[in-house]
Amino acid sequence: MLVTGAAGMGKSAVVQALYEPLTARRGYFIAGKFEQFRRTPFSAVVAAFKALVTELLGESAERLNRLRNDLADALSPNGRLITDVIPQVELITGPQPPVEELGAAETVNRFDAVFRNFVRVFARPQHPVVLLLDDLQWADAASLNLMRGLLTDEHQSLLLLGAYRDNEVDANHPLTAMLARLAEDGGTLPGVALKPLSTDDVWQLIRDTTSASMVEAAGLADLVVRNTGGNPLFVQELLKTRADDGLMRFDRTAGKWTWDDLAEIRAKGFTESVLDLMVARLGRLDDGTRTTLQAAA
Amino acid sequence: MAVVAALRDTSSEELWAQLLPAVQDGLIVAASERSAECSFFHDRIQQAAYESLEPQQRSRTHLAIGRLLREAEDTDPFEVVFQLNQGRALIEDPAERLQLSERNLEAGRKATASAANVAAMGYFDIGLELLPEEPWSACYDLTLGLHRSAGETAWVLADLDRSDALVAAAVANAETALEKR
Repeated sequence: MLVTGAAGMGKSAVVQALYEPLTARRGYFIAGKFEQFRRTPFSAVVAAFKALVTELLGESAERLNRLRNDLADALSPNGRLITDVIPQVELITGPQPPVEELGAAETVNRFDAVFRNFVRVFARPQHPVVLLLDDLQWADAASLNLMRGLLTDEHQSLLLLGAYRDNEVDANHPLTAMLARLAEDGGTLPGVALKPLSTDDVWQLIRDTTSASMVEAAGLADLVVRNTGGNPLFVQELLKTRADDGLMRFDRTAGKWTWDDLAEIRAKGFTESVLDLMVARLGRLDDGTRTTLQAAA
Repeated sequence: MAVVAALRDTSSEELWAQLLPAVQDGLIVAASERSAECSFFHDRIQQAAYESLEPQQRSRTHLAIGRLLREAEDTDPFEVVFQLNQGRALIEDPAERLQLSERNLEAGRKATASAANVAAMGYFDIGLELLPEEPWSACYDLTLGLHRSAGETAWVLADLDRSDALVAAAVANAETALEKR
């Protein structure tokens, strides 16, 4: 399944909603995110399975033993292909011998097959796996091919979720090509496209959170939507900031939120978009904080 | 955050104190108070922070991260090479350059085996770039390995001219009849 929408549209929140029903069924929920400034092959896939292996290492010795045997059956003699990319797997399987050198086409097919077998070891009816690959707009070509391989595999116990920003993926993007090839092979991928909140939605949200009257809420909703484009993350952030600034206050006697006239809220510099405002704050940080953020970025 | 603390040479307490203004400003979000898990509020904030570094300073930061991760266990195998490569222009020690060239050959071979040929070509190219002068006499095995692997991968990627040139260089410099084949 694909979940699409611009940044802040709530893709992660939608996906997280699957988490609880799944853990109730003793399934695994694993996730990895591709990154804009760290383009390495399979980064999100590696992160997801690394987390899974770490979780499994806490299981009983008996289960680990069974898992070790299952992995040996599924991967032998090509286990090294997996441990070279996801070294943590070695913690279960032990070191793997080098693989035979093959021609180019065979190499591609072999990796596809070995990876599918690898996933099948974990994704079983008694413990299904949800694999979330987030920010596919930054995925490398090899990861997309791997995804296509998993999607064309008849697999009852694996739910592959892909999330990406459709507004950052155009006709020339590798993801578009991958999805087109998948469709050619008869693969269909249901999608959920997340749209911005409408003024009505935000109006409802403000009434529910603040207990304001319909008229009071309408004016604020209109202002919020104009300044956020209805992006849920920004709506939340804007309201939070207004509360922090004291422009919106909780009136204990009346038992509801109140705010002064909208002119004041507007005058607090909301003519710029929310993000521009935040980026500008970066420049005002002191050196130590800024250098730390730069290193983290 | 552990990497950032090591990089900034501060304790986690000091790091948290430095981050606090950014948390209060809403630029980054901490999983919980004093948490070691922080994320940028939005990619555009991360992008702005990243791009506010001068290119030279950016390379230096990548290099420092790469050198830190090189010593650490449990890192994504391609990540160390990626970080070091981003800062490779600043590596002056010939031995360290040679070692990074080897790492690129190794990463490229892993990438080839896992069908990541575009990425593999990138590693081989950087490996070749990092070779010293007169590479065939200075480090024969590494030079041959890089030419061979790069030549094969260029062929897979249908860059036939490049492939021919690499293979021709390998043949011209190969020492034994077996390697010339």
